[in-house]
Amino acid sequence: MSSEIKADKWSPASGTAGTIGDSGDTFTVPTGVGLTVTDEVKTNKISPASGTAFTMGDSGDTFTIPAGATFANSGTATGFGTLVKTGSVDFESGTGADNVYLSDVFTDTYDTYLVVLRRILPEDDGDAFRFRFTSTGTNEISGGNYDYAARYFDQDGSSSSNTGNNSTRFQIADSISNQQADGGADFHLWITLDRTDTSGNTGGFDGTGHFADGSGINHSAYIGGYYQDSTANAKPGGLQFLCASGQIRKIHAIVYGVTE
Amino acid sequence: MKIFANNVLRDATTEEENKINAERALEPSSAEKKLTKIKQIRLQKLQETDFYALGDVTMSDAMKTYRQNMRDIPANHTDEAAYDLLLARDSDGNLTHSVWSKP
Repeated sequence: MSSEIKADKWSPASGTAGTIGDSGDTFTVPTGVGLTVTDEVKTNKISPASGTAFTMGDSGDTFTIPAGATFANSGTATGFGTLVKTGSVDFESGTGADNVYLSDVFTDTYDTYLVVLRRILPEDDGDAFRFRFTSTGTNEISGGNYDYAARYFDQDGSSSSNTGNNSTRFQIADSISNQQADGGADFHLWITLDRTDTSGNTGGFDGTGHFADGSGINHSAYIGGYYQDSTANAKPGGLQFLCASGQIRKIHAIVYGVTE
Repeated sequence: MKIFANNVLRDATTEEENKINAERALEPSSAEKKLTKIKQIRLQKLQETDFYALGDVTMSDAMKTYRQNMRDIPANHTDEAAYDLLLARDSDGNLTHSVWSKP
């Protein structure tokens, strides 16, 4: 039937369920025609009618993501704020790990990252805590290209420092208590990369934090360092966490890319 | 040895174990680390009393002994048990060994 049907209302023939068309059918709402639905619409995909542009709503409209719902972004989101989570690790298994990896969290999308490290506990009391870059997966970048300096202000009013020159990793805490009650260690690190620089691989960091040492003494820390490798075959892509002598018992880490 | 990657805890491969062991073999011993910490504390405490050595200040014999005793720490305290005593602290975090007691 190709003729036009005009009616003010369509209703199911019986009950409350009605079906429009069959699989493979196409219903077209022409340009200039509005389609208003005042209740829930369920569909698996919404795409632009033509081209690549799609606009949701108008100025003043509000879209709400209810509690418990997830709004997942696997592409590029702009205008959503300055920090975009690129990865995280939560290690608290009851069994220690010699190396903990947070892989593939640095991309060409961002040059600056915020790394939040919290509740770090070593297995060995008083062990030092370190990190180094990885390229992809668990491929560590461990050449002697890490320079760093740390200054610690101690709870008893004294201070100390730790430095590394042409080291194979950064060390951000000299000694961390393995007693949860002592407070462990927490750090906030800003990491700057230029992964698009093809002349070499670089990565800088600076940050602050605190840790309780093997004697239970608390320290505040200011730390910074720079990694530079003249070769261009291993761009920093992630992080490897490790202790100097023993295993890591606990660590939680989140990495955010900073939108420019 | 264990590796935590991709949010999974697994056994380290032989290659990973060799890397970890090689790196740890380069670490200073526990006693060496403690002696380094002691030397850092000593340096700070010596610096705190350096002004007594100025020409217009008289350094007491007690202060001279205090400073000399700290300089003699590596000679007079030579094993890890002695280092532990030097690094011992009370519940307030204060070092308890008599060598740190400033006159």
